[in-house]
Amino acid sequence: MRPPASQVLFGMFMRFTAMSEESADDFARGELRILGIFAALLGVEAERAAAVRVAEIEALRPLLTRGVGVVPHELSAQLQAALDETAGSGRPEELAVSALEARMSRLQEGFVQLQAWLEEHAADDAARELLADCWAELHASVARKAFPLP
Amino acid sequence: MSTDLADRVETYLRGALERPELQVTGLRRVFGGFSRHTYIVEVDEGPALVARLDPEVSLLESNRTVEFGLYRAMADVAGVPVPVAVLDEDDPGPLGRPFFLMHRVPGTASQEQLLPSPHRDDIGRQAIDILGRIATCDWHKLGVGDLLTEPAEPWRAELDKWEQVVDTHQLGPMPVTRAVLRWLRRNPPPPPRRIALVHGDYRTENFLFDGPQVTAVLDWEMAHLGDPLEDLSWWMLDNWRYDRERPGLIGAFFPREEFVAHWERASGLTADEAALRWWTLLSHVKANAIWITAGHRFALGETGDLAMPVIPWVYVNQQEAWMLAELVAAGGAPAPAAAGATT
Repeated sequence: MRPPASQVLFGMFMRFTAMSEESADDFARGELRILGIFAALLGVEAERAAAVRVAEIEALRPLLTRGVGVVPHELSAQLQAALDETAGSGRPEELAVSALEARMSRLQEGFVQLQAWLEEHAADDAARELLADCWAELHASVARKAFPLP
Repeated sequence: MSTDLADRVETYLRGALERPELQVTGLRRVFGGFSRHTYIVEVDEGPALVARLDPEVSLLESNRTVEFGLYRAMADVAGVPVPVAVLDEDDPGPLGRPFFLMHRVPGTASQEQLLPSPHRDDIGRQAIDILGRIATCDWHKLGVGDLLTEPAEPWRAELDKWEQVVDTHQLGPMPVTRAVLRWLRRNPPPPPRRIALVHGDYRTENFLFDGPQVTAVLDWEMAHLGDPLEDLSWWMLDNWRYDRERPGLIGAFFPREEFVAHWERASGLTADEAALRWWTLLSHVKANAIWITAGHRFALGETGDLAMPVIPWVYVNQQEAWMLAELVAAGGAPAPAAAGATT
């Protein structure tokens, strides 16, 4: 069994923190402390990076799909383009965090446009219903990504 | 201490302060803060000096001359302690970057020392009183109008400014921040009772205290003219609630109601609840704009400072969580349960 990256990085955090405390030099102490925090953050990020992005993608795609049928043609075409570009083909490289990040960002761009339009047209029943679900997704997204302060 | 640097500073100070016998007895950099670099310069006679250098890359854009001018101007306001501003130097020669000098003031800004202090409440009351005086000072008479522009609509000026920062520096879509920006523009606050001097970064850890006494208000680099509620709302952000055991204490001092009431007494102004909520949301946007600027500058290779990517990593998502909760409280978004009920 291989040790998880988060464990290795947390070990680095402990190491840097210990070195920082032993350093007599202000500059070195400050830099080592930051390196330690950085390693700890990487450790946490390594654990959640892919999972958060996959969850975000899976939540956004159905909302944009519904949006295609609600918004005017021009925006609808933009949402459809975002859906097409992020459909995924199942290739292993799509699981890279950077690839997941790109897909998530593309869908979030569409989501921002969709929600802005829905807010302006909330008098319409279909828009209001979808807008409520957009707000629900924003709350879910915040909960998914909330990161405790160190 | 770098001997070479100390020698250069000593030579410079002898000329600039017209003290040919002056000797620099110590020089060290102080770490902390993300805008200007700070050095403490010990001299053989008189108070130590603080040199605030323009950074090569900063968390935010700031104007040294404005900051220096405000230290000068605020020295004339009774009850607002600031360090004595000594000189403003455009020449990067002596320290490698343009800088200004001020007297060092005794005290600390550290939350680690504030939290266990038996004087914490006294310090909090004084700091709120000082903010009240800043909000009501006659900035025309102080000459601040020559340094800063009076906005026609403070809310619009600040919203435009920080939205522009988000537009320029975001590294990816920010759905919550964008939703808040749209709400802020659709729901402007009532106009302020008066256009006030706004410190721009008034909060716990930006003033010094020594024992029971607040000794100096620092970091005026984001000062501008605007709505005094902006300063109050900035200090009320969750970011500065350093007492983890009592997170309801604003700035680690008092519960919200008591905090606001004290500010109203100190300033003689009314903190309209709707306006305060608007400014609190704007403050969240401003905070996130500052955090993403750090990440943006690192991503573009403008700085190798490892603190820069860490800042947005730690704060941006948390800030969005706080601002969404605030938007719900302001009636701008359904609460989580209500939002989820339709799915």
